[in-house]
Amino acid sequence: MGTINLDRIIDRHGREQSSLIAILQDIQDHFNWISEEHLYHVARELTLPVTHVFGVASFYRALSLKPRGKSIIKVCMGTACHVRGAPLIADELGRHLGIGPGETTPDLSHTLEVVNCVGACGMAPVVVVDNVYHPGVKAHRAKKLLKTKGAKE
Amino acid sequence: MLLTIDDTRVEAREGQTLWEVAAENGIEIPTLCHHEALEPRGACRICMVEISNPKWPGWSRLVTSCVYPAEPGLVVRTNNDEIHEIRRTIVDLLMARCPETGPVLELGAKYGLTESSFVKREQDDNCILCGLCVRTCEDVIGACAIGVSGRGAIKKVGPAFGVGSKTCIGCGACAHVCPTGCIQVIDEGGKRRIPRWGVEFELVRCPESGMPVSTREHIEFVRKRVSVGREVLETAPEMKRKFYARKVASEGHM
Amino acid sequence: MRFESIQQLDERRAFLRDARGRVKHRVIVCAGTGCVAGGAFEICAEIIRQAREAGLDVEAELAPCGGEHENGGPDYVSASGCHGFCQVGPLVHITPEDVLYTRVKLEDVPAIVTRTLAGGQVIDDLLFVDPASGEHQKGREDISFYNKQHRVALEACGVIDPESLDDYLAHGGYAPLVKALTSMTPEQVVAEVEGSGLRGRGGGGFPTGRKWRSAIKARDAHGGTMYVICNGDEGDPGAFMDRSIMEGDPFKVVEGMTIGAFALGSAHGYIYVRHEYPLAVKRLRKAIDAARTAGLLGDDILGTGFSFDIRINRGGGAFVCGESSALMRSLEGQMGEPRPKYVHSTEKGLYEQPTVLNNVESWVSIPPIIEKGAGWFAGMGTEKSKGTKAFSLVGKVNNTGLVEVPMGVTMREIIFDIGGGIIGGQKFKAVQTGGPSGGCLPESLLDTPVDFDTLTAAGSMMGSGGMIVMDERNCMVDVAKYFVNFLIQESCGKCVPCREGLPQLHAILSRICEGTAVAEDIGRIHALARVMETASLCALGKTSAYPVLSTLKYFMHEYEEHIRDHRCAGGVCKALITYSVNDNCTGCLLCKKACPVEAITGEKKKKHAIDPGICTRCGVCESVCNDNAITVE
Repeated sequence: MGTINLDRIIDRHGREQSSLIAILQDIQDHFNWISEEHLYHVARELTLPVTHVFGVASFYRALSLKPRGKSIIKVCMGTACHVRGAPLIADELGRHLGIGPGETTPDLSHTLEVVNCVGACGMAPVVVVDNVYHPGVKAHRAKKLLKTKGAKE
Repeated sequence: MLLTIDDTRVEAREGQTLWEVAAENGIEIPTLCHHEALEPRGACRICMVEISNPKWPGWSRLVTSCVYPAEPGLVVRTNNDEIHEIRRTIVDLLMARCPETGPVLELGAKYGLTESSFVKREQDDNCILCGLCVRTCEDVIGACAIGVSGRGAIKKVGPAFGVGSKTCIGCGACAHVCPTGCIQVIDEGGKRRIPRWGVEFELVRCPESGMPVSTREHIEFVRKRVSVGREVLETAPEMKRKFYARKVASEGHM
Repeated sequence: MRFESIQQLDERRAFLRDARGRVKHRVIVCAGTGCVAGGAFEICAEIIRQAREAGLDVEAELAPCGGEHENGGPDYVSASGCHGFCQVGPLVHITPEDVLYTRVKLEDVPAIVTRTLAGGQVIDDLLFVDPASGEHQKGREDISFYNKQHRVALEACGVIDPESLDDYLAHGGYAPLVKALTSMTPEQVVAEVEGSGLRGRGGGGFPTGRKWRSAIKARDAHGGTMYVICNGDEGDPGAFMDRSIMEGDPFKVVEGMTIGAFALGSAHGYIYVRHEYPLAVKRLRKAIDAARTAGLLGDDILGTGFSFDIRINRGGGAFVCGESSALMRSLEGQMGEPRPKYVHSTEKGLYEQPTVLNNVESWVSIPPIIEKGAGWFAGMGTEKSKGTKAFSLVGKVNNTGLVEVPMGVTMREIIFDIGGGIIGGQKFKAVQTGGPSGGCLPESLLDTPVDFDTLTAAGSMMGSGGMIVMDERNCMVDVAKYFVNFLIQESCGKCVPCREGLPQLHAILSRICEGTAVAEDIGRIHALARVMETASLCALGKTSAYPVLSTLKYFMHEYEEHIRDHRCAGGVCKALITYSVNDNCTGCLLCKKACPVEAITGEKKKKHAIDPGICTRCGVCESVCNDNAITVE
């Protein structure tokens, strides 16, 4: 489970309540999601009720309490992207993957998310695949994004 | 300090909220999410009142009386057309969420609503998310077995991860404050179940009467915090007099 | 190096200024998030590598440009923050000649090095082409997108290397802080900010000086620790001004907060950056570390005895945390639920202490106000809205990007003169401002001067500066539904009017978009919107109905068409539109192959046909067609 890593993350931020969100974000960056065990461990180390930690973890959209895929595809749904066709792109990607927004493929290969404006509005519509920004995406070429695994390819 | 509520001059103390001042003076302001023993939350918005101040003619504001602090010279209206419309709409919205809930329906009847004019939710849930149960469990009891999770329309109240709480002590205080009765505490067959939180406990029986008193967990919880012997806590309330009488007779003290 | 005194700082600045003066060519490669996606870092690295290989004297840092160099001086090549001209990135800007190369690719680097840097020639093919005249335009002075702007908050974005303290110092950075620390009292700094008329740039428009004053008053009356917060949670979809400032001029954010902390008597600052801006977080972290190392942040700044430090917190993906009380809860490690504003956060904010929270753009306005004075700032803009404002001009406009103009410039000037008009020669329909709290304004209001109060009077609001342009292919009912859906996702869920009201608004709008609504539904929207506005706990809920209300006000005919005629003029609402093939069809079979449900029939070189019974309105055919042969109505 990586308890050593977990404690290192907690040590880096300190055991105050104000560090809670930063700790959860680092856990997610490291493990790709936040499990029940992670939350219980953090609650213990920060001396917080587990209901509080769970409440915070479930409030913030950036934190996932379900396992996520190896490739994370984020379709920007900001206003500029919306008026330039983002919903059709999200539909296309969902159709190819067989999942809806917020879901992960059963083989844990891909997670499709629709996210709020990523701030690259000049290049709408934008899709971010594994932290790589793809500008000016067209609906009929959306499925090509599923082959790229971000910067590694 | 002095202020005016519905044309009545009333006295208020520093730190009081408008709702408290009104209640003290027999002026009733409806509310769903407020309880005197708990920190106000300002969530249901039904307790809204209109405030104005002769110092600033032409200015008025709608505020939630459960939270707004009393100020000298404030002129408060607990009802008018706009407030009536707000209360009616809020109850209407809640009825779309909880069509079977007693207190909501009662309030609805006061505004002429027998059923909601809005689209019903796919799943009803008698919980109106007032948060009283959570505030009780956290601030009064201190067990922190239930909390608020999620955000927006999927906001929920319950144990972490939505399943059986590991820290619930089965005291039932949550059910006691719940305004809609959607938290059921079922005592039968020597067990206590609170299905909403997915928990079940053994009930401890009073050695005198054999009646179930409370859960072992609840008794332990209290015992750790209050210097009272376990036998006292395990005695049913109606048997305590007999218990103490015998103790005084045999030991000379309580 | 650490500056132990102001004198040391001044000496270093003089040295760096001299170094800057020795540079022959300054080559700036835009490296905002947008251009990075286009390969900006690779382009920058290649320019340096190939230029050195070609024997040119190239430096990647400013300091080495000082001292003796041959051939008229070195070329200083570096990346910068967002230039703001996103439609045509990646951008390479060369000064002093003012040559701006657009849509630069890695393959263009050899030509840039040999023909321009070495040969002094301009490569026409890489220049910007003005959509109106069709002419090539050489540089920022020629391109109307740039020359009609008046950059104050964005002044250094695209001009300096945001990761270089040296470049910031040479550019004049930290001179305002020195002026404040050496020749002004905290009270004088507050008075200067008050006199400038600066109003909060995050959307609220509250006078900044007044906010500072009330926090000081609260602290003096009740004691406590003063906190200073920078709100970098830019949540309005379509707005990226703050992102660009944080990425492009992070030192100025830090400096602005430091000056503010001095005026307010604060030792603790926080910058809250939204989760979706990793590059901004990285650049701010670097700037803070560099400032600390240099003695410009932390204990005993520049040996003056004043101490102030800043922590960066990332948001968790919650728009509501852009609301100041929710942001403070988030900093405390709680859920981002707002509090009613009966007790102001200037009195009881973070940890119940007096707190001043300002937006990124507000903070970077402080150093120039201190340096050039309140009068300079107040000399720009309108009577009640002083200074300039940065806007993100996006959507169906030719020159999308960041635009900064003095308050009072009209929307027509911004959209048409600077923005170059609507793409593809289409017709303008509406411009949306103010994000989910704002509204849509029609063509008849294009001559409205833009400032805090005029747009509010028209039924929208200026907000943080997002300006989304729409054309005839957008449906205003769909836009209203989009914003309501956005807010449903983002509502914190605490209060009934917002949590329960928004899904009900959405249900009514969905009925309209599906053609199952009735005329009374309009009245129901108004009634519900009224209650949401008066009874919601925070500004998110209170303003949540504005996008719907403004579209009802100015585009009622579209609502009526949806309800009465079951027609969506913008061609967006799936239940009300049909896709068909028109006479432009060349029979190329592309759409037939692309259609996921095999709804298109046709042979090569013969006009194709779409079966409306099978068609799912997914839009792929229109996307793939190169001949404009798909009609949607």
